[in-house]
Amino acid sequence: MKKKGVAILLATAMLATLVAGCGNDSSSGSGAQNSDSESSAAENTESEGTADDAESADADSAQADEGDVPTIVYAHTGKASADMDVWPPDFIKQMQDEIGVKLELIQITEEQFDLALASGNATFDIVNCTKYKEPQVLNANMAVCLDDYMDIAPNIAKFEDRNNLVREFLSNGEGKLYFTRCQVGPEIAGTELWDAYVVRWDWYKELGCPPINSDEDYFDVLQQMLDAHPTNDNGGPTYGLGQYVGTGLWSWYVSKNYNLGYSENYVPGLQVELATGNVYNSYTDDESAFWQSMEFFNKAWNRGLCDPDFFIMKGDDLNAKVVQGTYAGALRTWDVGSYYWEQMQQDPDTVKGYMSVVPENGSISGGFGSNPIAGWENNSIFIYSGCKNIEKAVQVLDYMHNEDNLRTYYSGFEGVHWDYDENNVPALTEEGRKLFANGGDAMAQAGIAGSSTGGWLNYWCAYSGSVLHSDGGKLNLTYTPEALADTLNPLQKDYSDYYQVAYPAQVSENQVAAGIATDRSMDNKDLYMLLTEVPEDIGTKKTQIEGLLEGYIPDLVMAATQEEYEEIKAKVIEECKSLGSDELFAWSKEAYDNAVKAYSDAKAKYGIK
Amino acid sequence: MKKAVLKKYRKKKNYKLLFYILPFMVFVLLFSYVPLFGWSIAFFQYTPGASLSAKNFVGLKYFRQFFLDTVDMSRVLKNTLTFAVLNLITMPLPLIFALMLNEVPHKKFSKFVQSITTFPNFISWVIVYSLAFSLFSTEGVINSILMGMGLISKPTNVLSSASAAYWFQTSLGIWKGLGWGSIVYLAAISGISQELYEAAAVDGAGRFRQMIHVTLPGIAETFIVLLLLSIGNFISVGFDQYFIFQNPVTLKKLEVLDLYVYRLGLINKSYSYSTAIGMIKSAISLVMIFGTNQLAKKIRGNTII
Repeated sequence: MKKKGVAILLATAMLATLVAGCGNDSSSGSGAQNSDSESSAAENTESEGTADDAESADADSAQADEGDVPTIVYAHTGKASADMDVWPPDFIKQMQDEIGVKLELIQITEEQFDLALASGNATFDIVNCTKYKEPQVLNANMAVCLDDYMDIAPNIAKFEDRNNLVREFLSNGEGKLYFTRCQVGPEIAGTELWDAYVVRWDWYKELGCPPINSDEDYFDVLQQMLDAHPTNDNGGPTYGLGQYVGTGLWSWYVSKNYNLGYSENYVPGLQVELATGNVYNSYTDDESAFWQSMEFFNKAWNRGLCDPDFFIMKGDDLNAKVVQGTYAGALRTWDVGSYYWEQMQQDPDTVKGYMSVVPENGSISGGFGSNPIAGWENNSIFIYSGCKNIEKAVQVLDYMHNEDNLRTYYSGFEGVHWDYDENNVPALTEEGRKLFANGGDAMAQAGIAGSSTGGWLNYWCAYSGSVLHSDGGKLNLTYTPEALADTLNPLQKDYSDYYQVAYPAQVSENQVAAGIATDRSMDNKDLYMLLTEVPEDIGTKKTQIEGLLEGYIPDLVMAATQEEYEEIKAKVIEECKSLGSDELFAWSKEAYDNAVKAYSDAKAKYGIK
Repeated sequence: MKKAVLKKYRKKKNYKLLFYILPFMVFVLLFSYVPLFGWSIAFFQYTPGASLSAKNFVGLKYFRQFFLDTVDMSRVLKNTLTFAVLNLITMPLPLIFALMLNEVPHKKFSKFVQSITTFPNFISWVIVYSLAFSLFSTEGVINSILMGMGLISKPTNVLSSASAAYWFQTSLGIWKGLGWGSIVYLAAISGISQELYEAAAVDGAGRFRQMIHVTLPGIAETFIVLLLLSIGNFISVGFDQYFIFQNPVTLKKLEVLDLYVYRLGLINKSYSYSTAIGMIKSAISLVMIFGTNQLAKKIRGNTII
């Protein structure tokens, strides 16, 4: 009898656990969850995009609703991770105090966002949604119409041009404002370029810095470096270039795409040459970044410059070789940045690191300079219609549209990190200069731009840092030649001294200003708003063609002769066409042309210059 | 009267047994059957967001697409079937390993070997990839040793060899699963009556003959059941291993059905098409399970289902 009782009890308990586990009504279980949610809130935000995050955030949100200070959960869809060891950092604290909320950051994956879309049930209040998802958000009635709250969002209202474009193109024809977008205004080069011809700077200087004006020059320089340095820091072999895989075609063509001055892909399979406006089929045209890249890699491979593990390394594998000083050059500076930081630990004044060399003839476009009116394409932010404190969420959203708050975010706290000088011109203080030069814990505590704790806010800031504040200074006060020069590390300083510029990126900026390098302000990223819906069959063709191309990369790169290369290329293009690359391009071209016209019409309609 | 009491007792006992399995029935229902409603998206042009009723009903469009998509599908199915056949061919290895392990007289050594060979099963494929890269890449341990010994003049790299992709991946699978797979056979061996061995010994059978005539028949039933189950699961060759190990060189060889569904479904967001492929895969598995079950009935006289 006792056994029977235990069995029934166990069975009932198991059944109850199952049923409880399947429930998704956040309110029903909030009492039990709330008991420990407060203490675990910070921990929960540390992990990236787990279900636990979402559950806890939900519980916290419910709890906060019952208290005096409501919690607003901001979901960040994996564009930049945030270091949650210091939470909330000072900038977030200030926001919380001014608005009277508790801001909680969770990071969710695109799949979790899709799940929220599919179920119509989200665990966040504000979300920075991923590219091309706006129509789905609207179809699911998940976004709050911000027009209804403009009286409490005066700063959002100031972004008339952006708002009008968003109303025009991201409202399913309703003409209402559902999304805000970030980084309106011109993008600057920053301290240094990431593209062009990346070289190991100390080795390059040993050669006397010979000019690099073409791929052939680059290969010659790499070869001379390897001849002079056949072994790396650990005695292993050195190579000219390394590569990592796992990103589809992207890591194979992105450098050329920027170097050639092409737009990013507005639509599948179409690239625009910014200087001329010519459009190319990304998969079959000789001029496309992919085929130009293949030629580059084929030549590099045949000159023995590529790492033999070129086709198998993941990011970590590449980095393990980078930190040993294995490479004479690189495809992107960020691939090899860890080497310099490793060397700096041993010698703070070292110049052992990688820098990007820009051709004197301006044949390479600097990867900067777009000037979106409607902000970055991949960052439409909306308030979830199920949010329990919409007004507070609107205020939170509005906060990052306020120029004073943006100045704080980009330049630090007034009176501490920046102040007005005797001429009433805003400038960084000595403490501010130190902060931006040294970074570290102080920066993380501040939680401002460039910090590990505040970098993610870059995807929320309504203006880019180069936009002028009403006091006449830029929002980002580090964006002056003097301030940029102050923040240079010894490697950047050495490079700048050699080229007699204030900071490395100025080499390219000067070329753009002189009109000999491509001005990327012609890269109209606003067009992405009009191209959010790609038909499924077009998307499938894209996936199939890109899969095909990726599989042929090794054959193309390792083709021993030009004849062999041309033969494989012809075969690949033929196969691309059989998979429908021409139809795909025709769709893309029409969509692009229509978008350009509609965008132009909208600008005329709203009087946008 | 006695019979009626017995019947009532048995009935009551049966109810009690049914009650015991109720939680598991609910579990299966909730997590295995309820999600099947999701299959409905295979018949609609689905994107997350609005409800299904607001989507275009496309009928069997995506199922037709599966059969018409000859370029990708022929390659993907070839890869999937190749790995499936290789898995079937290598299926006796855990059995052979268990037989050999059982014959090791030193039990401590036997346990040690069993532990060592079971351990890789608990290593994730991500770690396995890192290990493989350290061992087999151009500057890896294997190449360093072979070149150091003068056995090869140029490094070889099995990770970037398309021709080696099938056997290399199968070998990794064997390395990872051999010890784990042998556990069930070792358990079956331990269930064989000692009297049979004693009787065989009395009849003059040595260790080898005992293994062939006592141990092997004793675990043959287990092997056949596992074989039938694996045939039923024939085209589910896995995902993570191939996802981790694929690179541009091996892409054409390692793209199996599950990986293709991932690429189309999650990367290209063709949820409907990938669901249709998943349904076709389930249907094939179902047919193969019942087919092999019937085959087993004909050969062995009894079924597993």
